[in-house]
Amino acid sequence: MHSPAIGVRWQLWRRHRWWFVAGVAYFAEVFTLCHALPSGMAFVPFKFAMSLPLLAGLALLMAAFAYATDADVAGKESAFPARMFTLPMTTRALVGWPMLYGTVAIALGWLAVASLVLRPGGMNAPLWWPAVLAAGCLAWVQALAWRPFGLPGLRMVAAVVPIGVLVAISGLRWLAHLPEPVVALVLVSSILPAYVVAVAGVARARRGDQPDWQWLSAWARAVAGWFSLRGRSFGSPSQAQVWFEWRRGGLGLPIAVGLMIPFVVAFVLVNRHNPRHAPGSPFRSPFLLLVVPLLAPALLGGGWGNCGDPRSKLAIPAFLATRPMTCAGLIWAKMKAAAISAAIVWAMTLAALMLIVLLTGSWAELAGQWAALTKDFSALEKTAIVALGVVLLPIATWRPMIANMYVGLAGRNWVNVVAVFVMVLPPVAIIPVGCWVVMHPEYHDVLLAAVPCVLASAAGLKLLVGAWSLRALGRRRLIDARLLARLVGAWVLIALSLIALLLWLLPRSLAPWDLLASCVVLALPLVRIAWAPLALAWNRHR
Amino acid sequence: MQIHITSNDGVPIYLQIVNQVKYLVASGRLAPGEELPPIRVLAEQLLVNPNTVARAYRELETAGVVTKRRTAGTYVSRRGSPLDRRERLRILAGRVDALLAEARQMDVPIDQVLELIRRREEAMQRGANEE
Amino acid sequence: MSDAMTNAAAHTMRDMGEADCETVVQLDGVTRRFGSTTALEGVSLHVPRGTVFGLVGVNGAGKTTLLKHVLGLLKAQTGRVRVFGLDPVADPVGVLSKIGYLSEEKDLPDWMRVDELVHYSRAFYSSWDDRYAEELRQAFELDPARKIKQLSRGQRARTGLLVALAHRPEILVLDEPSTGLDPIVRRDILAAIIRTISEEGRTVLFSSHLLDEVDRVCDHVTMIDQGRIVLSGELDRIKGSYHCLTVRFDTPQSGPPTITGALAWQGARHEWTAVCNGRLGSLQAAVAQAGARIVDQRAPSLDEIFVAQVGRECPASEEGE
Repeated sequence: MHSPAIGVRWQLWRRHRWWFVAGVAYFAEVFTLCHALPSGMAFVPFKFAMSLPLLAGLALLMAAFAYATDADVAGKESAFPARMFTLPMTTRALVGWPMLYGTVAIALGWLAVASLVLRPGGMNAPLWWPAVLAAGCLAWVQALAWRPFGLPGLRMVAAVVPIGVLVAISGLRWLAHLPEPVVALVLVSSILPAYVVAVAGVARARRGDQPDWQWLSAWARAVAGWFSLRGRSFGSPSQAQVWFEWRRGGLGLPIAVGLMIPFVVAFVLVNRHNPRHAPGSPFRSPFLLLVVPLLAPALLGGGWGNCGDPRSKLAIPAFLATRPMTCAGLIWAKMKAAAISAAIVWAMTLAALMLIVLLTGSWAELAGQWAALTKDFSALEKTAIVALGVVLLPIATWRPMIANMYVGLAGRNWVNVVAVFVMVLPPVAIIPVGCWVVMHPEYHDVLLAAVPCVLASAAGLKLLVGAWSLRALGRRRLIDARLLARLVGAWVLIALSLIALLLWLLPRSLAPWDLLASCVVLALPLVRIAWAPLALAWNRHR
Repeated sequence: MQIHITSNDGVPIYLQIVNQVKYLVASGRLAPGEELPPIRVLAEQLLVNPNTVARAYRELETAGVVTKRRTAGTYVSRRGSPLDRRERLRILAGRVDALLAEARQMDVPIDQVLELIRRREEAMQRGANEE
Repeated sequence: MSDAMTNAAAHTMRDMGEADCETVVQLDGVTRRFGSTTALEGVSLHVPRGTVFGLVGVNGAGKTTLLKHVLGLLKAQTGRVRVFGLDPVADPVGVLSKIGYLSEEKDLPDWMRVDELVHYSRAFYSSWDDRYAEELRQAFELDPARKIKQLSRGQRARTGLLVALAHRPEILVLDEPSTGLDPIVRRDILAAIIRTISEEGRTVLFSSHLLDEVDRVCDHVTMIDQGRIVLSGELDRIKGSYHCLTVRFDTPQSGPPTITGALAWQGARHEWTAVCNGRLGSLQAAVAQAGARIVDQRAPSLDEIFVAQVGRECPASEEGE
């Protein structure tokens, strides 16, 4: 290590060497694929799908150069590794070298992907402006990640400004028809202010000068005080554990939804005054709000499986593992805390919905839409539909939050990696398959006829795996045999009553009973929830 | 009751307690009939295992230094002088051994040592008289 | 439903025929490997009720691994573990509700306040004593409104000790409790051990590499080295069977003498000193047979025994590496 530059470069390489190697290998593979396959239109979606992970890899590269992989970026401390502050390097050098390597690397990365993979694959990808946009974004990501902030989460809010400006500048290219070199020059010149901000931030972190905006968060702590205990005592261990899980992560989803709801409300209100959207358009309807609680948990609510602190998500800390509570009890407490979170999210959504209805006075319009939708149903059936909605919609929010707990609870890194692959690959694979199906209408009938069979076999497979998991639970005595029998009975009862209800409500031609049965079986959570106590026991008793 | 335990001495802790209690009794700092602290209290004060303190108290009782009353605790026995005297002489004998070893090393003959002791005794006596 | 679940596994296997009221913790032939390293090999341990049981060994000898088996955090790959006659893996509730555990790692939740931690822990133990908890909190001078992440290391250890003691556990398990703590906190921990043992029928099991603490406080000692038990028994008996002998030869010796029962020799030429294991009479006979005479004999301290037995030169009574 004869110069600091080499030292920094070596350290970055060494820390992420496996990811770099994997990325280069994957790049080589996609490169050969794009050149080997014929260049007809039919193959373009496939090639695009294969190169999506490369774009994800570029994002990971950004995170690596910003030292964000080891640090808690959402917190308030600087993400710059503190051990580098004791090196005999000036702050300008400490900041300059990673920024230089990062911007060059990511620009080259995009150029490589665009010119060697995307363009030969038949996609007309632009070369220069995404490269400089990525470089500028990386510079600002580094600047913001390395600056200590006064409040946790403030960094994410502050990031909106420079990234938004950069994206807007590149969008100007079409709106104002500016020539590409000018836009590229403007984007490149944004790196210098980022460097100045980064040097100031890292200098601050190096001095140990951590701003603390307690006065801003005083009100937040007062609210948190309502949730804390003053002289309250718990009636049972389960209640105490629910409180624990709620305090650990219960507020995350409601806060995120609370931030999303104003945007959606504004969107709906703007669209109502926009003549481009016809009165029947879904973008004008207040029911658009219902999308938020249904989508948000899938994107944000999956953290319930993590037992440890944010940095070492894997091993369950001894404090939790030595609670005198069964694994099933711990899981049940997590599920209850998640249910409270889901309930709060729905309360907020309904309040916002009523607010929109009041503001726009569209109650009559909504009533008319409702009557039009349900004109074929009798009054009893309408109440049944409403009741079903009231029960099922919050459960639809709750289910994605707890469905994948077993991944985090297992406490092994390879389980995380395998789960990511298994959950990411099918959607990525669906794009080319879907494009192929759309382009070959002659197969539509055959495919439609095959759908019930596919669903039925999937449902059968789920029941088999579910039965095996439950048997494993019973054998390891993680759940009392009698309680297990009661749970299975309740599940069967719910499934049968749902099937019966749907059969009654929906016209017979639309949904034959076997299709309905398969759908209900596939929708009800069984297997992954049964895996959760097994995973926790596997982690707790190694 | 001031007792000091060193754990690295090689001398078992219970023996240190026994010796120090005997010394306190012999030098008069523990009067006959005075109560010794209960086992649990002394164990917490010295940070040693209560069993060790119990063993020390048993040894002291066997040696006759203390008596254990059934519910009321442990008391210094009223039995008197022969034990105290024996203990005092034993302590002095230790000091005399150290003095003699040093005199031998410094090559001072025994009659000069005895002469020194007598002169120091007279000086102490004069000093006491002047007060 | 949740309480049914917490009581669920409580009715599992109870080895009624084998439950020994006198042994609270029993390990038989436990082996544990992590990959290619063997952390424990054929370890058997019986902790009698009402004793202070010390586990001694260098860092990495296997003490923490052994204690994790007692808590059910590790499953025995061979052999079996029984705590109060129950298997800690099969019945976590039954075992853990009777154990108070303090570990050296900082795994108390950082975001909780001290009073919240007390309230939270209280719900899990039916034998929690509120008055005793308050008395401990005042004795340790813990501010109830402070967050745990703001506490110093010593205060954090005291908080963990409070939570471990307040429900008057039947067995107190401490994993290297004094590591990195100042002498005042160490006194608090030792005092807690003594107070626990003074109450009828309670047991203390703790691991330490600070041998002077072990010497003061333990009834039974087990020494572990590289996963094997090197020494185990009552402390008085152990110290009685080791002697530190200094022998003198008339002719200068070129190397250490060989006398049965002697562990590592130190010295040169005429005089040699060693810690010896065995009865004094047979040792004297062996020394005489080697042609030397004993010039000094004393009882060795626990760390001298430990160093001699484990066979390494290390300042065993200082903490740290």
